[in-house]
Amino acid sequence: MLLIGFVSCKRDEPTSWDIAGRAPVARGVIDWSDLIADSLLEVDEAGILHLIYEQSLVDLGIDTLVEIADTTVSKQFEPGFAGGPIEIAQGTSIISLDENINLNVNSAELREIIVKSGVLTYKLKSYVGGQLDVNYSLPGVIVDGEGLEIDVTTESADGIVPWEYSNTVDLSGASIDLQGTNGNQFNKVASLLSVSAAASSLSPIPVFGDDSVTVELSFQNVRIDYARGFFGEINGEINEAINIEPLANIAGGSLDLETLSFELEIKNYIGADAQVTFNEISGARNGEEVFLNHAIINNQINITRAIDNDGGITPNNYAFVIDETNSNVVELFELLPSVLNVVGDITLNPLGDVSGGNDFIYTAQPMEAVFKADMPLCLGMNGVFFRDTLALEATNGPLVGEGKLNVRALNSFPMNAQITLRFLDEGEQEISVLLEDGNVSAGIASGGAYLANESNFSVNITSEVLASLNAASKIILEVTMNTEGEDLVKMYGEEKIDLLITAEGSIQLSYE
Amino acid sequence: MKKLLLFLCVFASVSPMLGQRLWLLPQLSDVDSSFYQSAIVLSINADAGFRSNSIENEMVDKLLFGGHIGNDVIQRAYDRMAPLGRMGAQSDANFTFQMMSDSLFGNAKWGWQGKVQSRIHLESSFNKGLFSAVFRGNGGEGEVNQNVDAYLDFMQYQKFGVGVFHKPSMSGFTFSAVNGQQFERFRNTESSLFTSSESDSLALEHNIYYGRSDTITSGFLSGDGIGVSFDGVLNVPLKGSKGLISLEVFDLGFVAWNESTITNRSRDTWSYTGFDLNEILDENQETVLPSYPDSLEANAEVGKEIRLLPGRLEMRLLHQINLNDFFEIGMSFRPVDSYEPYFRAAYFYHFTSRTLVGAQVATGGYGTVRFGISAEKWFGKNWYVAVGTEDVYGLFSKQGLGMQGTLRLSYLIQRNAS
Repeated sequence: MLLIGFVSCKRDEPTSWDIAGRAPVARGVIDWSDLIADSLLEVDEAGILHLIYEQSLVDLGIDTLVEIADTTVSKQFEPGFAGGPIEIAQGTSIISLDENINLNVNSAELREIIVKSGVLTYKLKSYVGGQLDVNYSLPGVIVDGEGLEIDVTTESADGIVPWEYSNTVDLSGASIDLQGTNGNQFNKVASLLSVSAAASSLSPIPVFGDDSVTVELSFQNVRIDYARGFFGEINGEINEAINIEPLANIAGGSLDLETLSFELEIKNYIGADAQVTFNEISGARNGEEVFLNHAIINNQINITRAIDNDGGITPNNYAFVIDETNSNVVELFELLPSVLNVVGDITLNPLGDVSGGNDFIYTAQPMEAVFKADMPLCLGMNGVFFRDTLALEATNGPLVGEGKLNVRALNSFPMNAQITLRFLDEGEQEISVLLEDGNVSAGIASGGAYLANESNFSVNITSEVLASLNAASKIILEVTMNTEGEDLVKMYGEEKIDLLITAEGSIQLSYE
Repeated sequence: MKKLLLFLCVFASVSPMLGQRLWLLPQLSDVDSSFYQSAIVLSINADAGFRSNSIENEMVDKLLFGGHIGNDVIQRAYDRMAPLGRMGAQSDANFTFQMMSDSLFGNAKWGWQGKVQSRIHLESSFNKGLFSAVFRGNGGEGEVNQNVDAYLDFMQYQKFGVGVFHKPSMSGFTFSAVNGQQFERFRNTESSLFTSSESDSLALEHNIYYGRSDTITSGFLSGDGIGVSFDGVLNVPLKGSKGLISLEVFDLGFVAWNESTITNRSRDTWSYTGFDLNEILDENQETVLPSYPDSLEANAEVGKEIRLLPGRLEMRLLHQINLNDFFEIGMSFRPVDSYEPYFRAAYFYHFTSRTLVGAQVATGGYGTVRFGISAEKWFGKNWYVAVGTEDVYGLFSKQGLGMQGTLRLSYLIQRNAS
């Protein structure tokens, strides 16, 4: 017990001591797959590595043409006489009529839709003091293969308090005819109402002239899978800034490229004609911008409608190959753009309703423009500058000691690299520089490959550096790369850096 | 506060090796032997302290209470290990009674005795390489291969015993029921920490056993295990009453720890080659500092386990020199690596018939050579006090290799005058 008291006595300060240690800190083989996703890399027949990047430039926003806003309608039906009450015999018809319900469709004139998702909520109210047989049908709303029908026998209203009945129908997959009661309208849902004294009622029911039956319908969150009609003549703008992911970590520098292929393809899956004009395509980085010079710029592209073969779409595609022979695209990509800006105009149905109200769209396949850049990695690098930010995990306590980090790099990339490491605090402000321009020498060309070149350097870890580490929340890794001489160097895909970082020195261990 | 605790630790302790000599050789000189006439002897004993063959008091103090351990302290400890570092600590509190007036089954020379005891025992041995790896690091040129074997045994238990004793010789024995409160045992053998010459890999080869008692229940008298124990002492007088030979056994027994006892075994090589840069490149904004596994993978088993108590066998010879003085030689053994055979030689002198002082030199056990002193005295008709230490230097020096002391307080209930 004395010993327990002895040990559990409050400690005045942490226990600490100094050790001389050495240990591996980090290692890794950095190859092309660590820099660029494997799916973007291909080796051609000549053994040259290509960066192939495909991305949708713009979806041209046409799928929003056929949006249906939430629609709520309330219909009140009255018997058509004044005064009363009139005793209505069982089974006798009181109301029978058909009406259209207008859907809140934007500018399009839709004849038919297939719903991707959405619900129809309905509510019946009867102010009649007896039982009614109510049949309300929407024959154009086909759910699970059958027209939607609401068949209810109401109970007697309680004075001025109506009898109510409500329900919700899931419209996912439903097809809706929007041609109204006469079959040649648009954006209208036909409805039929039949109200009669309930056949099952034990006695005739008293009906007053101001009695009524109310039907409330609400189409909510309706998303369209397919639509047919006339989408209207619409003018739109294209103004897109597309991030080029493979180049996202490059903070500066430029390339020398020999060739580059940039293919722009417009794919029209919509059953409507269009005209597209690209007013500007440019690449930008750090305030610098290179504008594409090519025949496609400022020239109207007429796009013919797709053909619907009962659900199988035959699109119309328009492809343009942009390369060093017909444009300045090489110059554009030598900038290593982080963003591709696309500015233009688009007009849908420039000639009006030439399809007789038979435009169509499958919203999963809108009109799109995609680009595919094929960059053979035969290049020169001029201060290409990678920057990456790595979060630092908080240590259990402050590190105290001094020593050095030893870095060994076996580099078979054919470019020299200078590595800098900086500590940042939580406010992203630089605290100190851990390493400045640690040199990694380029690999040595040998036939169709590069031999690894070994570089070694050390980083002194002083007490000031450890103090910075204790205060840092992030570390910035900067790598500047240059190829030697004027000649372009070819990448074969086997290039890599084998990195080993070890630490040695004295450090203070402690525990509370 | 800690100094006070250290003081209490040292002076509120008793070593069986140092107490009751005043009782054992009443034939010497005109030593007061009136205690034979008492009815009951009640004694309170406490023992606590630690000892090492290499770790100085300053280092222990800082490991327990905080502070920076200097390289000189670590280096001296390292230099002393050849090749095994050893350390032991214990806390022992007990109450005993001996029925001096009653006879046992009609035999007036025998009486009943009993004991209630609470004990904490900790002992450890560790390879010099382990100490170096922990306190000096793995720095240096070329490959470094450090043997990092270690053993640690901790046990806490209470005993409740009854027995008999032979009044003239003070020989006797006690059987005790043992309540096992807690144990932990760690052993790592055939293990090494390898650091490659380029510092690009660390490898820890290990063969670890780690066991501990039920962690659900804890605390004094928690009852995580039950067992039995035997303690005994046989004092054989020498011819002509020139002294005696004593053979003593302490804590010969075991505890059967309950079915919630956990044992872990791991025999593997754990290697570390630095954190993977590729993971960082694959997952931006992830940690850049290395992360280590929280624990080594082990095969864990839960079930009953029987463990021997930290028993000890002691022998000693007390022999008269002159009328007022005698010498003593003694030894003790424990069958564990951390405890080397213990040897002791002492000289005692009777200042008066009721006062005994002594000086001794000892070596072995958990430590090295140390010098001690002791004193025993009767106060009035009822009180007996024994104090002493086997390491005077360790009491006062930060560079001592342990602290130890003895205190025994006895009260004699006198027989009824009628």
